[in-house]
Amino acid sequence: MSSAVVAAEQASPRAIPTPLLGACLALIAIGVIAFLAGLSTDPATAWRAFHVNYLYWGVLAQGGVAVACAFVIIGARWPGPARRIAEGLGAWAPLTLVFFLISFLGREHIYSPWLHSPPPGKEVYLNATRLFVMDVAIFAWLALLTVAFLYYSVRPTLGALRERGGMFSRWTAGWRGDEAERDLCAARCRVLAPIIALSFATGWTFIAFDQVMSLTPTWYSNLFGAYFTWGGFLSAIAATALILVLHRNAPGFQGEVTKSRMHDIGKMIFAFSIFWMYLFFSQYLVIWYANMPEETQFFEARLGSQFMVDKAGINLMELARTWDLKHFWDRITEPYAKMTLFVWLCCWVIPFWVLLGQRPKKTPAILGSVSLVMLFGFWLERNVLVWPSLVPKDSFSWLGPVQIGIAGGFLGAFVLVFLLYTRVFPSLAVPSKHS
Amino acid sequence: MPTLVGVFDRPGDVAETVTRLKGRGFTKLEVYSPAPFEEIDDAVDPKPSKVRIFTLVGGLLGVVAGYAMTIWMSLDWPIVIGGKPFASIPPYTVIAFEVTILFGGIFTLLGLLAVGGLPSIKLGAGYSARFSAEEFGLVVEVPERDVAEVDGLLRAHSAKEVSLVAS
Amino acid sequence: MTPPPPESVAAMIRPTPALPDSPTNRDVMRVFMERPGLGWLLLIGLCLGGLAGGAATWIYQIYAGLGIAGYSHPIFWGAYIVTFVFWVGIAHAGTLISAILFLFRAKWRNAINRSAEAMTIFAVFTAQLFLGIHVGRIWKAYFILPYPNQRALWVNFKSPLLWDTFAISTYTLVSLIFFYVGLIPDLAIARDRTTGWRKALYGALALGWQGTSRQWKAHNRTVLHLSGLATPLVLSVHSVVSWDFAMALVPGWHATIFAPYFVAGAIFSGFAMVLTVMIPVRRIFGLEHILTDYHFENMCRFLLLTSCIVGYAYGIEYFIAWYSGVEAEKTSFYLRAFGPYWISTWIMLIFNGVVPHLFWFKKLRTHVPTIFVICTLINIGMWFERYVIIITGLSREFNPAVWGHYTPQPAELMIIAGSFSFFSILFLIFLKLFPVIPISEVKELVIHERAHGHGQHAEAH
Repeated sequence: MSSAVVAAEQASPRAIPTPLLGACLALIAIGVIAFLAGLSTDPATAWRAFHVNYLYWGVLAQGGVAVACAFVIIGARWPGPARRIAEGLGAWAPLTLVFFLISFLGREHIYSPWLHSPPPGKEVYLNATRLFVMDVAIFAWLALLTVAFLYYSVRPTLGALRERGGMFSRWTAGWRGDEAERDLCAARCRVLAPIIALSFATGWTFIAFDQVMSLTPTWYSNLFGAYFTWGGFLSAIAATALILVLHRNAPGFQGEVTKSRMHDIGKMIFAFSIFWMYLFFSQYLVIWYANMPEETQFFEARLGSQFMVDKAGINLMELARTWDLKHFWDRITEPYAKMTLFVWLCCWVIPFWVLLGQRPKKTPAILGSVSLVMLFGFWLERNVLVWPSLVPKDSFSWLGPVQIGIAGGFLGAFVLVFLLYTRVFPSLAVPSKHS
Repeated sequence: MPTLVGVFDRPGDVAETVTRLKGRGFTKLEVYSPAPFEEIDDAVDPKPSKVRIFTLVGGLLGVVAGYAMTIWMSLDWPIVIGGKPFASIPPYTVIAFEVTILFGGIFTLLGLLAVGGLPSIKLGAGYSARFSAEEFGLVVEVPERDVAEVDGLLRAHSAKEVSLVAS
Repeated sequence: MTPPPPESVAAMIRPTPALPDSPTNRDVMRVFMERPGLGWLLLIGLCLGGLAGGAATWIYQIYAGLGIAGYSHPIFWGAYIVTFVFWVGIAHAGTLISAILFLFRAKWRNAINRSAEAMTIFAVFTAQLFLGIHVGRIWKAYFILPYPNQRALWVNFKSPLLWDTFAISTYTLVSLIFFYVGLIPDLAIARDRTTGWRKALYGALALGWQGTSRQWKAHNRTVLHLSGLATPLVLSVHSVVSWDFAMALVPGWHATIFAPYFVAGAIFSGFAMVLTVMIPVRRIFGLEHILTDYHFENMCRFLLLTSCIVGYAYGIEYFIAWYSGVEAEKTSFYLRAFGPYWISTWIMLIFNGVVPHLFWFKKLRTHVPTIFVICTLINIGMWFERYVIIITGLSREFNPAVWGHYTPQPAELMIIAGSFSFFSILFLIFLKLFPVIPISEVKELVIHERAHGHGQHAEAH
């Protein structure tokens, strides 16, 4: 089935538009400067911002591979270039291992809540050696699988370029002929896809436990890993939709970004964002109901007490006020709470209400804007998952020149890697029109 | 007015014929088909079905009813349970959600009945059991003088047979 | 396009020719129009016997009290609740197949969706029986509904059991609507081809459906919207069932992962049950050309996927129980695997988490007897999953002084057997009353293929 998709594509290397290239390089430069400046003035903030951004892009990139794998598994024909875009996001995934190794240098600042004094009984799990070994293993395994998948997925389209030398010859070494390559590579992808999907889910679950959940070392929630990973998967779909929409007038892609394609991907965003909210609610309701301090602390730090049951006991007036909608906004005392509410707005409320009908899903501008809003929402969500554990009650901990600079640097680097992989090394093959 | 019934085999032909007939001003037509085919349905009436309004209204009504019922009933006789607020939004969300779906579902069914003109006791004059097999029926009301023309038009678009139903 | 001479217009007035019928109609109609065979009669007789046994036991239980069900401190949720959750779980496959696969435009669903939807409804009915059986004083069951009364008391909306009431009743009604809406065009087909009481029944139920374009358009929309409503509903129903447990503080119950984990388990068990039932049905009624091995293979893939999710949840539960450092959690999970209920736990782990991985091999997921065996094992495993969760949780709470032990009693086993009979009777009647394959949906593909040839129709997938 996937061979049919591949058959209709031809690789053709393209240059990256100069303004875009310049913007990416400028962003990277800003990022590096901000990071270095941060290290010399306020290393804790710089490292933590680095941690947030590397997690955000890491799970998004790996999510992109998972999206492509999902298409392969269900044998979907509708995605067309969307599958290639999702794979293109995955070009970043192997780099996550490098970024993890860098972030580990800042472990004093990132894992400060437990690095030197883990809660009693948790020493076995919460120690730096264990974390390093396990997470390096996870990232290395995912990187290996990702490279293998991308290799077999793109190989058939590179057939025409195998005389070019360099990467092209290496990726097409031992060419068996167009037809044979197509079938063989499609078969390899079908084997790899479920393995990657499982490894993504399990691997990132433990990354989430190790590098996000552990920052509040006494807190635990067994859904947290799935919740975090699903956010990555969803942000990858949003990124795919955004890039797909941006490509609608790109040379070679005219007429490829069809209404039905946008409709399908819009439906995915719509449904999966509801599912994301459902995962959030499943955690929240159970913890709200039991109202046990070791469980509520995580939500208290992010939503404040009025989203939990007030510690008022049976004081009727206090109880009545907990969800008193009239003063709801005024009573938000937790600085991070408004940020969390904004995340809900970006990742669920807006996608739900805007993409409810059919027409908005098929309108490029609307679909693209919603995807952009969601991508921003998830970036904010990663911030709100990490910062309150490290810097409680300070809603500006995540916001500052250093943090924004680092975020910009990551954005530039990600876009550059995507462009290099999809255009210069033309994995986003141009669909041939005769199909 | 006389009513002509054309019998077709392929949905594409039906859709084309409908477009032609409507172009000629014969708008009193009805298509019986054994299965849904978008091309036919859109040729007869390109507007999306009104059912969506029913679902939306039902859903909105449901969410309001769900929250209203739970909040009002808890405040009507306030009892503290488990140290939770009387009007506890998180658990009531569960009930409001279920009621939303319930109302939405019921209203959607009502929408189908209302829009589809169901239930109806009598079947249409041109309806025949063969249209619940694998054939398509195109029923069109035409003025006496145009019968011959429409008959020709139907046959020209691969109607297997055309018959006249007096009405 | 020359106008015909006037005499030919007169010649056109002639009676409709003899009723032509389509092979699809005949194939499917045959299943429910043929007189019931000996096998069917024997089976329904057997099931009636089982149902009578279950009913008699229940009546005796109402008289004697829930003590005969092995309920004693600290375990007051026993095999009835286990079986209730089991049947609710079974009920999830139908709506999943119909709604989610409809939204994802997976055309292969249409060979199985009718019977799966029917199973959904019958399973929900069966599950609801257990609520009545479990409460003991059945004549007070209506207390669960918010009705005006002279004490001006309302129900406790903060109780997960009440959420369950809303979730299950909504699910029953919406599934019925979904099932019925899908059935209307097929009922019209049956109305046009039957006589006597069947014509009256189908005629009344078909509501005068004629398949006009306006009706089809509304019908398509309705199915789309019902799918959109039913998909989150499916998720919510088993989530709510899981919250019956997760809201409590009982070790092994209070887990945030419960909702998605239960949903995956429900879909898993539901698919297994659909296969367990459909494999014999296909064989008996000779539906191999409609319900092909390809459908079974896809279902097996789904089983594999959901088994992976369930296995993931088992693993994460154990990991977090250990990581949390909470003594009661750790003990509870240790005792699951090595305590008095170890057999049940290992049945659950192996049947649900290990055996389905045989479906990685194409040979095994296309070999029908193997599928049947594995699905039966999954059904058993999923019953034990609920048994393990409920019983190990309750029997080993915080204080070792109030630990207890529970074994299902004969009365419970009788009633459980009765519930299987009840389900089977409903399904057997369904087989002889309604089209087991959605005729008009299959026809849509047939006509499409005839009109466009085989090549292009694939693109609609």
